[in-house]
Amino acid sequence: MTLAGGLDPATVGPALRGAPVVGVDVASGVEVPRKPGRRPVKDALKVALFAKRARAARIDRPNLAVRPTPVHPGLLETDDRGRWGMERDFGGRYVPETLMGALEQLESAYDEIRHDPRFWAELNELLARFAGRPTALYRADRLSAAVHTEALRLHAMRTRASESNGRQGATDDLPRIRLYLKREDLAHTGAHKINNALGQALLTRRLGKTRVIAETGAGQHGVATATACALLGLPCVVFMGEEDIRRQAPNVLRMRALGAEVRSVTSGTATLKDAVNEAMRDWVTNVETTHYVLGSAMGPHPYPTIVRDLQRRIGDEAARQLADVEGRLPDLALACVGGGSNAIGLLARFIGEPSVRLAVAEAAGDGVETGRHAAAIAGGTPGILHGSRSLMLQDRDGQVVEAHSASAGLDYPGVGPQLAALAEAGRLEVATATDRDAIAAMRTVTRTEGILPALETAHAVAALPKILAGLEGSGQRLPDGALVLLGFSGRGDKDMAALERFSDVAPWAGLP
Amino acid sequence: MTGLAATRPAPHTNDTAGAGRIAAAFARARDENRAALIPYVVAGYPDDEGSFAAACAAIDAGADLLEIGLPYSDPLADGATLQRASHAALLAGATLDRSLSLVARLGAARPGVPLVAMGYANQLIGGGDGRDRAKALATAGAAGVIVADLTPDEGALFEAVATAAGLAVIYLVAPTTSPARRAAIAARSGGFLYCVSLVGVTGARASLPPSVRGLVADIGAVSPVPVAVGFGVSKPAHVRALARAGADGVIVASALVDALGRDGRDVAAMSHLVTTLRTATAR
Repeated sequence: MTLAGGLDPATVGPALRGAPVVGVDVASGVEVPRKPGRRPVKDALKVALFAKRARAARIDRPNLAVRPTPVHPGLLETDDRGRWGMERDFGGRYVPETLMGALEQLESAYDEIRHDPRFWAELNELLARFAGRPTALYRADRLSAAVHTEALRLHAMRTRASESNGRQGATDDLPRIRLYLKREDLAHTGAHKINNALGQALLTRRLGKTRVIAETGAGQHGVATATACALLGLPCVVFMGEEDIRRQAPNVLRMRALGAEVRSVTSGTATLKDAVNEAMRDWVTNVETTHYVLGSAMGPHPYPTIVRDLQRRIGDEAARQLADVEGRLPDLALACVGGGSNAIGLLARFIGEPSVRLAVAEAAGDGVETGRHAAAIAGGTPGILHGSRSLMLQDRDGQVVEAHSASAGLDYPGVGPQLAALAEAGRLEVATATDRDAIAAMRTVTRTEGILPALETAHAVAALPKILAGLEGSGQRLPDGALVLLGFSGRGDKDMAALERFSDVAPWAGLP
Repeated sequence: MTGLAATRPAPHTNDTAGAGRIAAAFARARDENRAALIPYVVAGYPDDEGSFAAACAAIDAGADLLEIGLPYSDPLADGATLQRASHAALLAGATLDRSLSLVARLGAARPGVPLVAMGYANQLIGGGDGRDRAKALATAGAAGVIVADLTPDEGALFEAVATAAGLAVIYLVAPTTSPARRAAIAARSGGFLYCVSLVGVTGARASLPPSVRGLVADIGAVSPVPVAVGFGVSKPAHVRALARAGADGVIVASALVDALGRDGRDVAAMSHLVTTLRTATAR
């Protein structure tokens, strides 16, 4: 988009800061005063001044916290009441009074460390030496080709369907993409969760607390927290639904080997949401000694901010790495979403970049239309869950409806408030992948690239051909050669049982 | 918390008709030189008739007010007993409409005793401001409402619509609440102030923390409304100690649900416990 009309050296700077454009057009604004009947003449001084000011304004525009941003501030940060969104109607702090003191203490401690270079230096050191950051950014060419083929197949299917309805289908080719995987599966413990766990374990020490609790779904956050606690010598209790303990047995053994106590949660649906309930109950009881290391970018203020800040290095790193190899930002950034730590971690860097499309893949379980899914954004309504107002699955009485997904890490009936605010504002595209879609994608990634993704991660891969074919997300066509950044959140060793269970699901057809 | 006073809605929730009925019940107990007894029943547990029978029995055995728990799928402030009862009620088909019918039936059957509903924010406020739910509760005859996971920080909007409906919004204070915050919350509460006795979730306890006496005295000194103590209160000895420590009321929940037995139908045992608890309210 180019900005034109009425610009001159005095107005070009403010105009550029206010509009998400890539160029400016000027003519009369840099001319000497025109005499009737004479050709227009450019004023060399005005041209130079205009160019200088336009360039200076451009420097203000890259994604730095200090620059004016073209998006509403409510999509980037909370207000002082912990609220996100253009209407400031997501987030907040809906908890029993017993926890309010601890949340206020956490908020003020975090306000301090947020601006304390010593804290970040210690964390960065740990992440580099202990956790293996920065993680690789990998261009997955064989997977790109497979995604393209699958997108063509989906597109052809839809075209046939719409032609049989008597409508004209588009017949042109779909864009080819350059697909980059941000390899969080290579981080220590095998997922992005270690970024947050190490940060909050250090925070626990700052708070003067001596015990850590955590909830876990797929077990990745539990393993990461148990690891951080082993490293820092903190006792750790992990709450995990009975159903998830069954589904993710290898991670339970890892947590125990790391010295953590895994408490089986049998209440409710015995999955992630009940593990959060039980962790909150433990926290209510032991709040004076215990820090609750929440694993997702959800929960009462300030948790969504803390987890986002600790995870946003995923996208920050990827943007730098992509600039090194491609010299620019991605056209599309895509991540799977359960509660949202991996998604907001990847996307936060790009919210203020109008050229970057943001997308998430939600777990559709048996299919959104069946009602058995975990798609809180695509299929949920506003409500209050686990301490904040966001989008969630619920019935008309406000009872939380059970989520369904083969992927324990996405099997959650809510989503973090910042992501809900982004979706509500139209800044976030939402796609979905069923259990079977995800398994097919998981097999495809493994065969084409030799990388076994977590079942959670496979949802993002599965959604990509749908987005490219215009079936889900905004439906807008990407340019040919588009750069796609995919948050490769974790590795799939823990999901071998799911692969077994869906042994009838094949990888995508026509693999290279 | 300093912002609380500034966001106080006018008119105050303590000026509602519901708050008036609650205040009258506390005043009657005080005139008899005892603490008010506030038993708790879970609506729809073990089923509609069972909870109606339990509620009537609790009132007949000496309840001054009655708290009616609205069953919720994710009761994160509740311990094992109330989680189990809530879950069983939902399995038995409890809905908000049926809970409201229970409130209405009780109001007709035992008109003298104010009824206070207790639930969670998503049931009562959810994605909106709670206007419809507050009106429905008031229409059914509830005098007040307690929202377990709503503090005055987030409560202004719901407080306004509930107040407009004539309901008293009852807030909670906990042992972890700072003194300045206690006073601010007390100033916002309607009908009475719910004092959480311990750091933890609901559930019967063998003993209450020794600090509860000091807590009751401190909160009583700053609260313009009566102070009722709940969480863990389960035995006549607890009630006696709290009444003598100056509590205006005591709330007993999990112990009564436990007394109903595994199937939730031993109304006689529960009624007997209410009678002994009522005796213990004397100062």
